[in-house]
Amino acid sequence: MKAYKQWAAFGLCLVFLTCCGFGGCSGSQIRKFKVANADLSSGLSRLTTTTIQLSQQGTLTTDEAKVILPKVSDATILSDRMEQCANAVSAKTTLVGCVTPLLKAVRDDVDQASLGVKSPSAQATMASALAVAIASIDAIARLGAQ
Amino acid sequence: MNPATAQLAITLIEQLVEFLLELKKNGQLDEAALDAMVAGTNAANRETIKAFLANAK
Repeated sequence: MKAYKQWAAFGLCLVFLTCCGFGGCSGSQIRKFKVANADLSSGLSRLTTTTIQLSQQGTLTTDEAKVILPKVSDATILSDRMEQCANAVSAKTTLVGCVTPLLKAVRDDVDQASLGVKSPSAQATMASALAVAIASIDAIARLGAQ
Repeated sequence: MNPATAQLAITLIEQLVEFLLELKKNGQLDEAALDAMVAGTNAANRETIKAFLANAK
């Protein structure tokens, strides 16, 4: 997992350095970014509903939910900021500067949320929900390669 | 958060997410609508988390 995180951090930097080419971001690329951010928003919402459901069932302890949910909440704020980045910028360097640190931060939040899951019975369900959120983050990172 | 309230919050968020994904899949969202849906989904998510944590024992 640690090696994967290092690879992901490197990949995010590399991808965003090539994002949008030298002529700035096109409207199509900005839209793709916004659509990918919508997937992230959906993934984070499902992470919340999964956590609350498991907590209500008693599969996840309240303490575990208290570790996970604030991280998810922080990630939604970062998702909002990424949306604002897309609206505010059109130049490559500005998008790189605006989005890359947010994307790293949201991935860290999701990773840290996963550390809060200690119950063996909850781990598989939470891992699935976390994987959806991570996949959305990686999809945003891959946009620059298109 | 009592179970009935939690279930209501979960249902609302799930419906919001399904609506967002369906519109997105069909290409029916222009950028302004996409912005609004993402902002609304994120805000609903945060409010649900806040309510859950405020009542968590």
